[in-house]
Amino acid sequence: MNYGSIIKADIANGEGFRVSLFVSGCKRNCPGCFNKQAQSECFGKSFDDEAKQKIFAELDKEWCRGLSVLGGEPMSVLSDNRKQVIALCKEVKDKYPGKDIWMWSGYTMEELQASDDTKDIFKYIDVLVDGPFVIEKKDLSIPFRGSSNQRILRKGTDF
Amino acid sequence: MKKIIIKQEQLPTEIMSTMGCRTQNGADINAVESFRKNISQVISNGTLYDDVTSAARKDSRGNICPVSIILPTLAMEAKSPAAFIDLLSKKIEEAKDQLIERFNWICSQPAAAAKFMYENGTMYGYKPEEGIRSALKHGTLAIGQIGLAEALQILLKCDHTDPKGLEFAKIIEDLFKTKCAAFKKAYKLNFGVYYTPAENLAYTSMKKFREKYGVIPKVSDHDYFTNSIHVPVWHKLTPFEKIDIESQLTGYSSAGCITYVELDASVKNNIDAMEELVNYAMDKDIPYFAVNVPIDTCQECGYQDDIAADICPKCGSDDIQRLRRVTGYITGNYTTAFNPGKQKEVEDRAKHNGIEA
Repeated sequence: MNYGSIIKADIANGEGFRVSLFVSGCKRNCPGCFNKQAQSECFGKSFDDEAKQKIFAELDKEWCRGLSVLGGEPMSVLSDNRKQVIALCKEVKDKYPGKDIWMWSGYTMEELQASDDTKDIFKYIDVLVDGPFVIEKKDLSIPFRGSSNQRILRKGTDF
Repeated sequence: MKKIIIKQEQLPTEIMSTMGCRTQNGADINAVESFRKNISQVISNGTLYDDVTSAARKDSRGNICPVSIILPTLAMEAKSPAAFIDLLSKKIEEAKDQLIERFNWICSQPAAAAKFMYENGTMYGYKPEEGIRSALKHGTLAIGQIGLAEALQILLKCDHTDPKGLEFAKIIEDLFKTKCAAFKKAYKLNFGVYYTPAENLAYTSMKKFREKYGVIPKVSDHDYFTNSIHVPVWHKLTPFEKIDIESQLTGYSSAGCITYVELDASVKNNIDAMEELVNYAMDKDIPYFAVNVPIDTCQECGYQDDIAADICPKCGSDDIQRLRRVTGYITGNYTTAFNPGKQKEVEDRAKHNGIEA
């Protein structure tokens, strides 16, 4: 799995200050995509142990509320993203039980829950922002989302 | 009822301010004595010793004009850190002499020069029989500075984002602090260390520097000098890293300082992040903390955000007003309201999110 960037003190993607990981690879190709370059699974650098340690170093800090995983598509079949992201989220939850995990996916919650390959992600994430970006439904006024079909779903209430 | 006994040494001498244009950290040397006597007397018999000085006064309310020292020029002349400290020490003395000369000149004016102010009780401490000095002695004589980052580059080949630079920065700031404290005591005037905002000086001092020394990489390859002790705007740090560095220097300033961080406009959806950041800055004893958020407003449809494109993402209009904060001021369009140096500074600013691509 490749990643495009890590933002160490991100305030744009999720509540509080967060460390954000933008993974590469997405086959959806929505018109108006905010991160088109990350659609290629070859974009950026390999998500190796060094990259993972960078994320852990931020999660160690008191002000860091948690991890945000965006893309690309974290649940893509490309580069086995789904398997790697689930493993990363598991490791983060085991190591940092007090920190929360937000994930953005072009799949809907129902789709992710229905697939044996992706349903385990719900054990580890706290918030899912789901659904594809639909340019006709683009809305600049809703926090953390691009279009009004997308939902902010929370553990305990929505899954 | 238990009688409260307050010992003399428990009485406040230093007042931390909560807000103000260029915060003041020190206490007014010409008010502290009567303030202490007031507290003692109120406690013992409920009367005031001096009803003019009914509260502790901070110094620097009413800045009697600062003198700012352009640190990079001194660094070029001195060449080595040791010679720099010697030269700076001399320049701080000169700044003190200039301030005293100016103060005496201002005090020689009659009250009639600002009749309304003096006759309507707006000048704190004014006693007509003593002249306007009775009021002006409560103001601050500020010794300011600009371009610490560039001076460190000249002397050490790094700035204070490097521990070596930060260590020497503390020696420099301690010299300012020690000397100003000594002047304050010796002259019974409120000398203070001032982290100059330098709206115009940032640009004009760089122009002069270049005329003499040309373009030196990391020193004069921007169109402005970095303000006071600030970390240069182009460093890609997290806000926490910036606060960690600047908070080690703000405590040396007794006459005013400010620490900025640059945030994304999306902070409007993330009040938790704002609270976390403000608490962090307060825990680190930042006296005056400011969060800068770009405010771009479409003049056609009213859409407001950080608009990176030339046109409004909502209606496509190119009539966009771009508000930015520069040295404390939020003024109209920064592209027309600020001098060329400060416009460049705004454009060079890194968002403090610590992105690693």
